[in-house]
Amino acid sequence: MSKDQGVSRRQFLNYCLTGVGGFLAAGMLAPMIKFAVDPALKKGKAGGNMVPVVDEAVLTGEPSNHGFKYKITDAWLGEQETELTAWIYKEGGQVIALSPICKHLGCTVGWKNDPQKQNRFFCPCHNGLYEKNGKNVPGTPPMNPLDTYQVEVKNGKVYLGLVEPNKIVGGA
Amino acid sequence: MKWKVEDMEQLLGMEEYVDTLLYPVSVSPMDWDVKWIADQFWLEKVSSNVEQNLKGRVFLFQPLCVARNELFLDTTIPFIRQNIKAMSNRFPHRAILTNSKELAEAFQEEGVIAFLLSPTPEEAVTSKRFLEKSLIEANRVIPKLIGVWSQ
Ligand code: FES
Repeated sequence: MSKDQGVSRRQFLNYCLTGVGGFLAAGMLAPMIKFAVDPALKKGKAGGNMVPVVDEAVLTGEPSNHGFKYKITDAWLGEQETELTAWIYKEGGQVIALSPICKHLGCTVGWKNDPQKQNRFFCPCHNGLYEKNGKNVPGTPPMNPLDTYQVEVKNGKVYLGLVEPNKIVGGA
Repeated sequence: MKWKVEDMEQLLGMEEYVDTLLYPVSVSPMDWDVKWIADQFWLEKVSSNVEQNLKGRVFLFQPLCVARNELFLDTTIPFIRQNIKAMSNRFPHRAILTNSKELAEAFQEEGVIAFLLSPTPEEAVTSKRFLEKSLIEANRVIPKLIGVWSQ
């Protein structure tokens, strides 16, 4: 990339991070709050840090996307509720919940949303692919499998907790 | 998301992959009223939803909020244009997300990807329905951005 015109990457990042320049003159800047919202958002806490997300009965072997709220502590805003989503499915009586966050650079993956509609998770940012169990497909940018959520099933309800490294992918 | 100074190295490490600039611009009437807040909140929600889904490739620029008066087109367009131009080497794809039809049309003519936001919902900004609508709106923008990459 030529650096003769425009701004260098460091200049650019300084510009953005410090918020200097003509922005203040032109209007007011508003802070951005990181979060996503899902129509299926559900609120409520179970024992510990596990949150009820979905009825087990609606789950099948096909991953489906579910939203829920979770309390986290953010350096900027202190403790706050954040909205998360998970890809959840059942396999051999076990409930599996995968984080949708791509392990390459953090875009959101979708199920069967690649141009070939394969039985895989696809990341549209740089064409990352993952198997159904979250295993990253070699030859695509992600170097690690999708994380999983802690899962508990109580009284027919699926509860999710913290995200942890994927343990269902052998040898990953 | 709100980048922190300590994220600088991470940002630099992502440089070769982040090739799309998303510039949110909210234009509000000159007379201040609560709609200002709703308009800005709407833009923030939609743009942060887009960014969160595509954060490995999209850089969300600081949102710009403009009070509209008779000089609006003469001052705002050159200002945004110079910002976008300054970053055109760094970002091969440049998109503006705005509630102003005039801005969207002007920048579309200049080859910038322009998304015109749907009107700010009537619901309270804190309501679940408002948040749901912001997700729906983001989901309208996301496939179009992805489509630009595959061209
Ligand atoms: S962020 Fe998913 S492949 Fe790059």
